[in-house]
Amino acid sequence: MIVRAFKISSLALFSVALAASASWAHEAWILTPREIEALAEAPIPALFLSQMWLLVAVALSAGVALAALSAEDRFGAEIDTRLRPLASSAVEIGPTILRISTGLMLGLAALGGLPRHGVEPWTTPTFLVPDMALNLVPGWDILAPVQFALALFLILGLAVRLCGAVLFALSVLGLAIFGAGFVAYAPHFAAPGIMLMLAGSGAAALDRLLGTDALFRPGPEVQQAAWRATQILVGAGFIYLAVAFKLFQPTLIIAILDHGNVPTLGLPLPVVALIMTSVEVTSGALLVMGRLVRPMAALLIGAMTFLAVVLGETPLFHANLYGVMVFYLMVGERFPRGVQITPRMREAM
Amino acid sequence: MPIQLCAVFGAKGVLASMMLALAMLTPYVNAASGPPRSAFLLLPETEPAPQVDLDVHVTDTGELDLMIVTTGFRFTTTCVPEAAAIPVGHAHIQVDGVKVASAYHPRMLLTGLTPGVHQINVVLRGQDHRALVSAGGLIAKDMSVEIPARPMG
Repeated sequence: MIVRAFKISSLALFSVALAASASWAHEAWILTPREIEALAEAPIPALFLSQMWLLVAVALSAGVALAALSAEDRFGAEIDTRLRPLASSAVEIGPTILRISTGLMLGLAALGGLPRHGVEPWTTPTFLVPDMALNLVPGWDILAPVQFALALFLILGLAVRLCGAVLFALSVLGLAIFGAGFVAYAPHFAAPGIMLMLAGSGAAALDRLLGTDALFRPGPEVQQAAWRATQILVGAGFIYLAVAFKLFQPTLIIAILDHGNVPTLGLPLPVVALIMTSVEVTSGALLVMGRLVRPMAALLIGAMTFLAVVLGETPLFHANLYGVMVFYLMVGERFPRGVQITPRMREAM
Repeated sequence: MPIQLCAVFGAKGVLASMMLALAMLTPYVNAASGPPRSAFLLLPETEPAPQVDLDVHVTDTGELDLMIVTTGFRFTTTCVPEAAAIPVGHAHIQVDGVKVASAYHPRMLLTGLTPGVHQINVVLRGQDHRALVSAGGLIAKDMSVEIPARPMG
């Protein structure tokens, strides 16, 4: 019954994400020139200027979040017990998915294969994300081969913990090179970096063949603290995106929704934009608190996928986050302690 | 810090307080803001707004010789991650609503236009590719141009 309730609630959260047309887009560059022209003149919707309606949104969001937290308080322990096998196998599968998805993203970025809309593919190497073209920062071309080498190591599963440290360092370096504009991205690359440092290579990795995966493996307490740190980083990243790009720039997200002809179930676009913002702030806050981690991961995967389909974007734009969310979905709030590799798990490697 | 706050007030209290603060603050931030900062670079009202005009000639070979005539704006080939709010940058050129080129110099030769009437639109951009806006809106110029049909052979 508990499992059934968990499945139903996960499905409901997933549906909320889809029905609310949630999109995590903030990229103005997908808009056409005419849409940009219209956006320049667009007035701020009254909904985003009214304390009353914003407080109504807060009350509704808080109500939903508190109900979900109460459900977790009541059923969480039993759900965790039942999902323990999934969490245990996650230490094998989770890192593999994370390093390959992030590696693909880094490799393509290094070769200019993930440019932003309007830029010819394979002409402009970017730093981690499409927005951060390396030609904007003279003297930093070296980052393209560094990213490519990192991608190669991650995909092969070689020196993965070290690669995690390098990825974390790159996310900090991005702030120094690109400035405030990189704040939107840094937490979502720092977190996978930490995850790889704490979890290692996972299955299907050269580290396993060479026996180097155990090198620099942190103790269980450090692993748990680092796992919580990733939740805080990822959650804070989503809150920042929601506030900076949606709450404080509502006409931008409305223009993007309009551009994508996002189905709104008859709701006006400003209402949809406010629902999206509320969902994103609430899910980010819950991740920061380390609560409802699995349902939030399912919701965010659904929303990112929906966005990619509606806007015709490649999911590789958010491959790092897909890797993180799949890992969260499998592991939940607490990183598994003292997992023994069973013969069956070893066979699967 | 978030962990300490949670310990004192409880996680739910922190969540509720943060969301309440956002709801109270947002109307003031939005009322004072201009067009979205991610897409536009708002020039200060204290300075005269740049102006843009177009001088076009169709060459004998059917190309469009476009001169972007600006006042109070300087072209540069240098792009940066985050530009200052100054009238320096480049221009985006659209033909029939589709971006076809970035002009880092005032003169541009547009090739490959089919015979017929085309809508040319030029928008001045900052060094980080955001569209420049002044109190009067986008700094842009539209123009219709006819490319004559060329005799075969």
